Amino acid sequence: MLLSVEDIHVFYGPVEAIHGVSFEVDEGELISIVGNNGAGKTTLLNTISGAMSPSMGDIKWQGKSTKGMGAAQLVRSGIAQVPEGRMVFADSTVYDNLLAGAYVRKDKEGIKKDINTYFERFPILGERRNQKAGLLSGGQQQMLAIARALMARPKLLMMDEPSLGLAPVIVSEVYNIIEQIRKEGTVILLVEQNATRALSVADRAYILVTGEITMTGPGKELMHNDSVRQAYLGV
Amino acid sequence: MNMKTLNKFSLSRNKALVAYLIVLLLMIIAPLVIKDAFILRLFTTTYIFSIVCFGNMLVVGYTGMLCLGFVAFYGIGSYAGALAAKELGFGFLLSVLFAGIVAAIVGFVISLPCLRLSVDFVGLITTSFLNIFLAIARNWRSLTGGPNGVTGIPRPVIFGYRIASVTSFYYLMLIFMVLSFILLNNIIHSKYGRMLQGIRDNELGAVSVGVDSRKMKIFAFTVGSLFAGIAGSLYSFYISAINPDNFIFNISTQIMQMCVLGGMGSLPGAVIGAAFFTVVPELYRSLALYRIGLGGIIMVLCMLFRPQGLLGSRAFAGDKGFADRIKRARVVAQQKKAAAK
Amino acid sequence: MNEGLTYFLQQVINGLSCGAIYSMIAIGYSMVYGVLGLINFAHGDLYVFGTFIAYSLIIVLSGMVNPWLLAIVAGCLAGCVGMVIERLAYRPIRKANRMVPMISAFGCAAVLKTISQAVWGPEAISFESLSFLPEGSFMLGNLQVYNRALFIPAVSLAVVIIMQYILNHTKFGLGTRCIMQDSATSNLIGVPSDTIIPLIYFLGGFLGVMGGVLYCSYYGYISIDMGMLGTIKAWAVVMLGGKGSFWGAFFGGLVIGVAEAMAGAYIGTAYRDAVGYIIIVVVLMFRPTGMFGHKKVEKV
Repeated sequence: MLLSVEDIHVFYGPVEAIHGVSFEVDEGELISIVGNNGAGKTTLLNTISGAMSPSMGDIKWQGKSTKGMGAAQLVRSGIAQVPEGRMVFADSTVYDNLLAGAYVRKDKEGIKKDINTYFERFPILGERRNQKAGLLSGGQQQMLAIARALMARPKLLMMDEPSLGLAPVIVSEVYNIIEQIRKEGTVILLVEQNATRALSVADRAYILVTGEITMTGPGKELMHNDSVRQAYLGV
Repeated sequence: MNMKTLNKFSLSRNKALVAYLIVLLLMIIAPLVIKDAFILRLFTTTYIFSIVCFGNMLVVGYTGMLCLGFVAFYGIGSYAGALAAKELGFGFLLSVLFAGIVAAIVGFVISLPCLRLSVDFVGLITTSFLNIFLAIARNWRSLTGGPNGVTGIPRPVIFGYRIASVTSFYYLMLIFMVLSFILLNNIIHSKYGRMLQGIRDNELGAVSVGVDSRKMKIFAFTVGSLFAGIAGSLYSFYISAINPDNFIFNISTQIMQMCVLGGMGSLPGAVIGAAFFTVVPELYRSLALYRIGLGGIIMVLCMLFRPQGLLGSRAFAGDKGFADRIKRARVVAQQKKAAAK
Repeated sequence: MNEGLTYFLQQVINGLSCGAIYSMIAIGYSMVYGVLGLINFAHGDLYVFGTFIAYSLIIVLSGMVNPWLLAIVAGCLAGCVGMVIERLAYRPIRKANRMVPMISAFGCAAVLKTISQAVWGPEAISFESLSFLPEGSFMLGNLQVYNRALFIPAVSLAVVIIMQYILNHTKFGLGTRCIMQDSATSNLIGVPSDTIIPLIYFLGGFLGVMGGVLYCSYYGYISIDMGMLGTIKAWAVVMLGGKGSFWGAFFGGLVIGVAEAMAGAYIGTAYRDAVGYIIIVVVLMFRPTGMFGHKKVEKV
């Protein structure tokens, strides 16, 4: 088991945001967690990333507990996150954004190689390498945010609402990229409000409601589940 | 709201009222019990500073504008009142009123550029204004007497009654403080006060529900300066000689310390804060050197453990560092206990 | 050259020297303010404290060690104190309402001032004969130019160039720029803000002391009252130049220095300080982000 989240409780200030959540992510999988606003999706990802820590319960990464590990350490050991809303560094160039993504790495040659790889893969980023990231469109920023996270050469890529605020055509592009990344061997943990996409690509999925997991199962199965369809697919 | 909550609400309000009345009673009979002039003078100074703090509270605590040069309005009121009494021959009450109005007008003018600009800018603009005020006070000798200031301010005379003794000053300032308290309390609990709080906590949100934040900020600034000006002129009459050094930046810091300790947004807190920082340093005269440092340590500890001060509103605090962590630990411990059963 | 012009140029040169000193102190201040948005009210009292240490070190080791070396040591010490203050008095409350760390900073300033007063006394101490600045002068036509008038701006300029290079071409600088824009996301992608931020405070304290040493050498004395006055001037200079811009701090300092010199010479020494502030207020009214600052879009 690559990532094992075991009955964690997480506080946001003095309020408990996550009430005992457990799930697993294994090698080669793409897992989706679907939930509405306020369900705790971002809190969950931030806890796994080390930006917050659980008051109870444990998270095991590659068999070892992540207790006490800071965000930088976790990135170094292979967990990267594409935050909600892209959050690119708007005043920095595209190039600097990618460089920042590789902050925890020390191999200068490898970093340069990777940057060129991503410029080839996302030509638009290559074209605008010296432009300020804030000038990119939403979809381009999403690509940049994904590339930035990949710069850390993560084993697990976590994505917080990658389709948020993007036009459907762009969303398709983004999900194509997600499929590609998955094929290349990176394990993906996807967190979405947009259930259709998230469930259709997932091996397994979880439903998160106000800090608790209420359902789990193969993605395709949940897509056909009535209560899920009512709550998230607008049926 | 069911009957139970309604009753609870009015009971706590009644409790507060009773507490205020008791304290007021104590303040009134104090000079009959305490014969030490020194202590009475300390209380008198406390009352004057309370009024300044009320004004500071309105500006900083309710609009979130960081007015670092607030002591300038105090100083303007001081000079205005002193000069009105000495040069223009105004009577006491008229001078105080005049001082308040002058300070309020200046406050109004200063508030205008502060409106659409960032919090930092307000801090800088008020600090700059303070500097300019001090420069003028120190150099326009014909008006302000330069570095020597204004001396020989006449004793207050109210309806033929001359105020000169320690006790009469005590009661005079007490009356002014209580009146200011009542007035400001009414403002804060009126719809204006709620609008101001809304602006402080979430300006965009407030504006989106129709609050005219510009008008309210101007209002807060002007009224705050009014109180500062009144307090300033009271001070002039009290010590009968003022000079620019009474109004330097450090005094602004002191005012802020008083408000912070007492709690931003709390009127009784302002009085407690003023009392603390007026009385305590005097009790430890021997440690005069370390006064400022101790005050500093108190500030830091206050911010770390209780940023809303003694009586302030929680809204001011945000994520309260240690306090929140302690609370969290308590909840977690409870849950662990429950899980273990 | 006629007398009027000579006098004018003399004032400009004085202004540039004084201004360059402001720049140095402001650059130190700009590090914390620009990156963290925290008005570090303890900056002035910290650099005064550090400058006092430099003074004492020199008195003790007079003649044996180059004073600038001792100043650097004092700067490092002050930098470390800055890091301690960050850890104890700012970090725990970083997430609170903006005013909370600021008030904490006021508290720290008071503590530092008291410590300085306890150790070195309340009176001003002479800073002459500490040989930080080069002696001598040369004539440029009718104009007497002191060597120190070239030295100070040169040092200031060098510092700005170095800091700008660090910001744009080092890993530390990259991390700093990321934290400046979005500290939460920076953390998330592995930028160690709990390592970088203390270093920023270190640099702020260090540069502040360098500026403080120049300031006291130029004016010939050091006193504990310089602290808060220095903080406010540094803050004003940085706002004029633009938050987060080192070149802004540099030119802002020069502008204020020259303006003060002009005011002192042509209006009267009384209004020197005031003029500087008036200029800042006027500039900020028309250009709120300062001379070199850029607009930051507020995310709702």
